[in-house]
Amino acid sequence: MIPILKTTLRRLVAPLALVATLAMPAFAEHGFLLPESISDNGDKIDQLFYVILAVTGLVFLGTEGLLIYFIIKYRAREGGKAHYTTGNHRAELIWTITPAAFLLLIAVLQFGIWQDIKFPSRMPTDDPDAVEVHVLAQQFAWKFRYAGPDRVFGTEDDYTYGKLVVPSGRPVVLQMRSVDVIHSLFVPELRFKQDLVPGLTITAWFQAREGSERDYEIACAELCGASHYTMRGEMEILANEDWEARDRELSAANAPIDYALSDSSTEIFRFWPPSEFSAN
Amino acid sequence: MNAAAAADHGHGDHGHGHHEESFASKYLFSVDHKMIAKQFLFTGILLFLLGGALAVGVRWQLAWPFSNVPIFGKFSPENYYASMTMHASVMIFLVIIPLLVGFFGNWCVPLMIGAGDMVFPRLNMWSYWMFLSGAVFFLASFLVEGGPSGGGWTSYPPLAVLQQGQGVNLWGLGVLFTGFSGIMGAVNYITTILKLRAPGMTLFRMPLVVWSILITSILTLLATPVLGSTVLMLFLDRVAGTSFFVPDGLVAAGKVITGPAAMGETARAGGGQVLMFQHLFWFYSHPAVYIMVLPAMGIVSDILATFARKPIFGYKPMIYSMSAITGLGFVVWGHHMFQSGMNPYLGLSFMVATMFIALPSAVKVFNWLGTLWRGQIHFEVPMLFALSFVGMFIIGGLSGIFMAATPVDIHIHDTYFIVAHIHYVVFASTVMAIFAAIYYWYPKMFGRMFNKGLGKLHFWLTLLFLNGTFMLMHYVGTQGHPRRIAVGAWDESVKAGYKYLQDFHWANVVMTVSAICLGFAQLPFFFNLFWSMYRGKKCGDNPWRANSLEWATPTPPPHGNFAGPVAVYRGPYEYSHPDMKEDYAPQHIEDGTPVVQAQIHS
Ligand SMILES: [Cu+2]
Ligand SMILES: [Cu+2]
Repeated sequence: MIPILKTTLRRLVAPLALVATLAMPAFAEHGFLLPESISDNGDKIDQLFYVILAVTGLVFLGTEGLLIYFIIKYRAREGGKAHYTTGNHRAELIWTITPAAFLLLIAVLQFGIWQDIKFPSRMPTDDPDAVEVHVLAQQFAWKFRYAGPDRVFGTEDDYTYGKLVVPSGRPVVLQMRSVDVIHSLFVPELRFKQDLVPGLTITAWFQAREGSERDYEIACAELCGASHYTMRGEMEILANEDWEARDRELSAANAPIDYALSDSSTEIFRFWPPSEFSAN
Repeated sequence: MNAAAAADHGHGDHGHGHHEESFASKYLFSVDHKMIAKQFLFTGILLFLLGGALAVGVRWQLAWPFSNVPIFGKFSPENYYASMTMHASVMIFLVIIPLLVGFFGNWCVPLMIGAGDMVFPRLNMWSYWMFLSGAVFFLASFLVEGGPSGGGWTSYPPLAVLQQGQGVNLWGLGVLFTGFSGIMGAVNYITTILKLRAPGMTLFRMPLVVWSILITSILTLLATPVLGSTVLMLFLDRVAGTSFFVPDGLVAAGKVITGPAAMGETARAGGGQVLMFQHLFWFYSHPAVYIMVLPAMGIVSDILATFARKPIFGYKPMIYSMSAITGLGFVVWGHHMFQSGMNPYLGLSFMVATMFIALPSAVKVFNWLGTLWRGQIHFEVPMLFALSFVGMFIIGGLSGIFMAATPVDIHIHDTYFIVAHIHYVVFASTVMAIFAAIYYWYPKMFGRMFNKGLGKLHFWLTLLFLNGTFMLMHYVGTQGHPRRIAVGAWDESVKAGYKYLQDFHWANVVMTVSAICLGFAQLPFFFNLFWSMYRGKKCGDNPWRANSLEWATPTPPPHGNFAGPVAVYRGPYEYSHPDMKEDYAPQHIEDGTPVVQAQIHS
């Protein structure tokens, strides 16, 4: 069996190399494994990803290599006898402590990144530069509420728009709510993903880098019904001065929100009056 | 109670083994653990076909959205989500767990500890019938209006509460009944293992298979009731108008469902907690992953030792690591909820616990490699499957570290990366171990040897196509392909999907073609399974020259299992001891010289 395996492997090398070469452009265009990253938070996540890839990749090559080596080297031979051993404390201690050290390293490495991205205490909610947007998810669409040029919610110039339009180079704080089932707002290029949970208001943030101005897609990443796959949203990143102009434009063009119909006993209806849904 | 007494007990319990049993009492309402094991085996294999067919439907849709699926016809989105939900539910609740624990635990535990039967034979029978009732509920959902649940096997509310039709209700009943079956089995295994061991069979002389079933049963016993009550609460939310998981301020189809009474008719009180369901669900369902992998680890340990002709490297550390997995398994459930809106402070503690649960698994992998080191490896069919388990489990284990890393999880959570991970653990590892187990114990179960050529064909095709199917899922996952979407790349004709996935559509096609081939690769297995039962070569009592007690029984083992009283003199892994002439020493033979001489090569 083994010689057959060897010749098969040798025959496979050329075609595999060819496929790999042909596939290279596809990989190059999108980054090796991950899509383009347009935020500092995304870059930190990517660095951690590649650290883990390097560590697990080495372990993968080492263990699988050893497995294949043992399979070939210790195949049964006529008259051969296996070596009798029931274990070795020293070896077992080594291969318990070494992976434990690596796992601890990976655990410690990510503390800071997670805190920077997710901890409420580190969110730029009080940053005067931050742009706040209210997000509403419902089967099967996204709505975005902007405070308008006065930057205060609950006023005349607030407006709702079906697209997430944000400036680059400024923190964007999202107040996320869902009115029916769980949805999840996912932008691969931002390495951003956050579930929207009925009954909760969840705050999350991101900051797109300057130079990343273009259109992006928003995916819904949590199963939300039979048309879940159609819940595609759009995001546009603009340079700051373009964004400010667009904000004024949209505020003037959209009808004011009828906050008089708000119901203050229920969190979500305070910001998204029920009258907005009864139309459907 | 010793084995002989247990055997007597087994007989006395249901008349005498001597006179002819009726068809019903022999095949349907049997209380013999071996027959019940076969009932689980054949029901599980039948449902495996269903689960596989559903998977092909899902894959077909992803490669060629809304085209004609062979036999079935065009998928609707509802068909797609029902297939996806039922593929996972059938495979987990009706195939993997029943095969590993119901079939395999039943078959092995009494034989391997030297007992005549399980300690509660009637409870054992009921455990099968509970399982079958659960299966009937799942299957019935295909017949009701609206079809099966499309809410995913996780059935997160509020979606699972708001879904129309009987699908989710039947799903809940199915889970509840298979859960009862699991609990009944667990009680039986624990008691049998603790109470019915043959003289000399100390706990630390038990094969790792038995240890794995014991530990899995403890896990089942502690975790399943939580799932049962969770599903019951979901069921009540649906049918009785309770609001365990239904919050205030819910609107569906333009109508306010919960909230201020002033807003119109309020059918429900609201005030429930959506995330509570996820906590309770994963409190069971994370340990469930270990229920689905621990017995596989036990199987593989035994098979590696037998065919490497070597003792297990680090027998006790293997047991301790399984126990550590069980203990830690109860404090890591939150790793499924990093992006759920759960408190991010909590995320870090779940992350650290999850990092450390990788450790006992790593120790096991090294100990398996240690077992192969300087062995005499015989490439019999069960060994091929067991070796591939080790290789594939390494992949499934390592990919888990990416998701355990909370920041990386932000990007890959709910993408195909997690789909790849779970399939490397549950298909590429566990299902391969189930195949290994079926081939390994086949000669004992049916008294005939399977066709080895067909077995090898089955192995190589399965190994090739499972990697063809699941390997690329990592790649599309890191590129951001969400799971559970009916259309991946933007498709102009259906106006759905994502443009950023257009460059990866080829991968979806490759995976689908490979998945179909993986389905066809099972044909030699099914043919072999049934053909060899009647046409296979007859074989002796111990064709693999193994040590554990099941090989000391007549073939196939009769009612009551052992021909006479049986006692145990050593551990199960005494292979190639330098003082012995033979390279094995059955546990039940005092001086270590095997009575039956058999050839490992035939
Ligand atoms: Cu959605
Ligand atoms: Cu888990």
